[in-house]
Amino acid sequence: MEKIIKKAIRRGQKTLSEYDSKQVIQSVGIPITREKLARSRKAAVAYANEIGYPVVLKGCSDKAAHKTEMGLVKLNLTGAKEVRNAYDEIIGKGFELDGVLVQEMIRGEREFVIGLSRDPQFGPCVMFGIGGIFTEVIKDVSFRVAPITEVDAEEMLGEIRMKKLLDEFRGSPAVDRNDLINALVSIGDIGYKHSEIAEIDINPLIIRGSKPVVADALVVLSEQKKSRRRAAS
Amino acid sequence: MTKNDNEIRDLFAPKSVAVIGASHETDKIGYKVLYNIIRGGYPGRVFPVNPHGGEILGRQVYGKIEDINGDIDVASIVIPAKFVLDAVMQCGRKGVKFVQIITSGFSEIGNTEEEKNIVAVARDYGMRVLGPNIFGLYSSEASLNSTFSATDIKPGRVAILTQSGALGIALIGKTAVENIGLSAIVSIGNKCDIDESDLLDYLIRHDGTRVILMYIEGVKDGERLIAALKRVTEKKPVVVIKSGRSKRGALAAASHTGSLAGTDEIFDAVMRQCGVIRSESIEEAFNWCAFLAFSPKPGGGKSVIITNGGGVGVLATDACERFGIELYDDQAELKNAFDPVVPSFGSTKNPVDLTGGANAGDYDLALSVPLTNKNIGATIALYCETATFDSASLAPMIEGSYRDHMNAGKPVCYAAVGGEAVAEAINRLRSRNVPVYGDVHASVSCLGVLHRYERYLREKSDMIDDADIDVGAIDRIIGQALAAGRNFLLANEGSAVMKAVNISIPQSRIAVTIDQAVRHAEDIGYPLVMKVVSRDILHKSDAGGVALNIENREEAVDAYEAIIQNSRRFKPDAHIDGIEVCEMVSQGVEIIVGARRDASFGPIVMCGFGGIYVEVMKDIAFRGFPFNRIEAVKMLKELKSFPLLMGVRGEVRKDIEGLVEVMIKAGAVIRKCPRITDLEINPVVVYEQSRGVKALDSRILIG
Repeated sequence: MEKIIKKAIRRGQKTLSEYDSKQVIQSVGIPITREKLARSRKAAVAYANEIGYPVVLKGCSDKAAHKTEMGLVKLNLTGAKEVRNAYDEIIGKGFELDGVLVQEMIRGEREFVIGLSRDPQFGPCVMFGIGGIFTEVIKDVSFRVAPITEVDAEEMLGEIRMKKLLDEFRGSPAVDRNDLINALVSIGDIGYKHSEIAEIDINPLIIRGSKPVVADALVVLSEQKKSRRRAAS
Repeated sequence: MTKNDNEIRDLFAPKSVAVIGASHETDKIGYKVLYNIIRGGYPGRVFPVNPHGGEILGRQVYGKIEDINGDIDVASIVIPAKFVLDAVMQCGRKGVKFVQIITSGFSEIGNTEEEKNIVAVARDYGMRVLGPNIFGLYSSEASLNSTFSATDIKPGRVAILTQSGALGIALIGKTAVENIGLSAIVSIGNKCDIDESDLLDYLIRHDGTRVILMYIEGVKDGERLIAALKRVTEKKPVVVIKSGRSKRGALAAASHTGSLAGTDEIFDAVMRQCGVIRSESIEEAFNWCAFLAFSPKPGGGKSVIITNGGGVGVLATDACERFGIELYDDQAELKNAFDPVVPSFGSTKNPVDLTGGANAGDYDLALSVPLTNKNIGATIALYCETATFDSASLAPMIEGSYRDHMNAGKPVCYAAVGGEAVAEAINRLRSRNVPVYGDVHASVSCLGVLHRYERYLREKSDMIDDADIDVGAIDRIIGQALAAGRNFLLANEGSAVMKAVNISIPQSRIAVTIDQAVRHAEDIGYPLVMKVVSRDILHKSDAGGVALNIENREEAVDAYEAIIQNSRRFKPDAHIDGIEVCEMVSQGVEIIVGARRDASFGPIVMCGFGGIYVEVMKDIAFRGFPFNRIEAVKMLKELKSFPLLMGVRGEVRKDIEGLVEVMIKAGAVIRKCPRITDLEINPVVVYEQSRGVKALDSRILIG
């Protein structure tokens, strides 16, 4: 984690790319989608074959916070031909990219959000709630000031209005609460220990079967004034 | 037969009343009712009836009602349940216009038969029945208190209709303490004949009644109630307290609409649609009624908050936002108006802060500003107890500015926070019906409901928007299904109903040759999906029997051949019925639209967000009739997920107009096809503006 963050700070990045963000999140034990960063069309197809279809291709850059709106996301690609076309289309947009992320396509009806933010008065806060397109619309979320304990995390799960989604739902098994609790505690720890990270947004966190998997994430870095001041003193 | 409204007036203004079961024993209800009628100063003729005869309270007692010489408008019946039917019969023979049966022990304990017999007898004689199981009636128009209340009733402007007897009696006591004058109070009880709708028809016309408070437990004839409430709210505000909010899912989960439509949600929606203000507590309801009974209507201007403390000012600002009270915020004009009365360290911004040093004179000055300023429509005056303000002048200051506001025709409400002196002032002022409260929220809520009511009057629409639907075709489909012994429609029948109401559904046709497939494809339009149709191939995708996103003729030909080949390879002996050529449905916002026949409120239209969250999120809205496009749009705006229809994250606005048409059609179906009990279209996929909507699936229950 330190390596990725240091490199990003050195390069003057404000955020980490999706790939780097998820590497950071994975390093604290939260499961992410199987994915590889391809730097050529050939590599993209090879990775897709390796991961297994259907796959998702996403243009990867720390400057691409709104990938969908920028046309950098191609979902549900079912074969090599589609992967090649998608790769060309993404590259063809002309953005400066780290590469194209080849990612397994997660199927699951339930989507949650886990977040880390810094409140000016209370400091780092962990958020849990309903994810996907409903996040901003429904605002069904729960907050705790970090660091949090497992008991806090458990309470957070019980505080959202749509908590029924965590139970057995329409033929899907109940969500593995321990996985969610561990993820919330870990995100809280990051907030508490790493002041260089300002925000984390894991959305969506898709439930595959009973297991949560991070499908997309964004790590926002703290403004670097502080470190400069430190350097000066 | 139903009597007209003029005659229902005789219940409230009878020229003569009889008390059947009048008693000598002072602890009996039969004594209390007679006592209250006489003590209340009823000017008409009063006849006690009791087989024992004699005299009660100086009045001659008659053995039976038929012994009385002269007409009887109302007979109160206070005898044991088993004798009631006979007494009703006697009343009928005597030509009594109304019987009010105070006696309990009928349908409320399962004795439904006797109650039905009573109604039947009454109908035979053209007599109307109030009750049974009631505490009586009070009418200020006739100075008639035929209740067995323990306290005197003060005449005034609020009418109470209550389904609960005990609570009703208690409310009478509370009105005395709160000094709320009553224009009428009626206990409705089992409402075997006369119900809220009948009584409302009198109260609409009764000038003395300014506000109506209703306590409701359950609704019998909801469609009639909707009509009556709409008539009343056009003239005067109605506040309702309803219990049973938590009673959910009374209707089995036959369909989503059914399972989601806990009756309370429908009640809530219908009340809002009728402009009725629903309160959560008795306290709140009393505050609102007292306020609405005296307050002038808010004019065009916005509201101003005048305070001597910042904290309460902020609380009031929050409450204003919650109730949709707009605050006046022309800074220049505010400064101009309030600068002379606000110290330099105060604030002329709204809330106008006179600061802690303000005395009664400063308040007088500040509170006189809204009286003449045409931009200010209403005033919220707040006071925090301070040492600089002489507490003895608090009540006169408030009362003075209150009278001024009343004279100027501007609504005003007050909140005063403090100790004993403040509490005393509040009590004194409240006994004179000045709206002053010890809590900011309670105070602002009064002005809030006034605004809500006015907004309703401005925006209401009683039109029914109709839709051109083929009722004959729907009837034939229902007839066939019923003949086949089904109480639901099959998928293809559902699709046929959608066609009959002209709701767009995905097109799909079966082809058995390549040429036919191509023709279908060209007819339906690209992109398309093609699927193998075979009873021997259950998992079409596994067999390579599905082709997605076919964009032109060549691809259609290729896909047809590939599907046939793949299917043969997958299962050489499979019987292939053909290839289904379907329109490819693209993604959009998924909405559920439903309509059903509610047991109490009749036809109801419902909408909500579809997809997986429909049950969990319960993001749904209901409407009864009259239903129209304006109400449909309001329903959509009530949904928490409404922003998704407006487009989030840079998306374009969705085809709300198209969705509204589907809602109007669903309403037309439920209204015009009485054999349909439940209709649910789920999901209706809504595309970008002017791109239309598409109904993917429907469930229709019939009976």
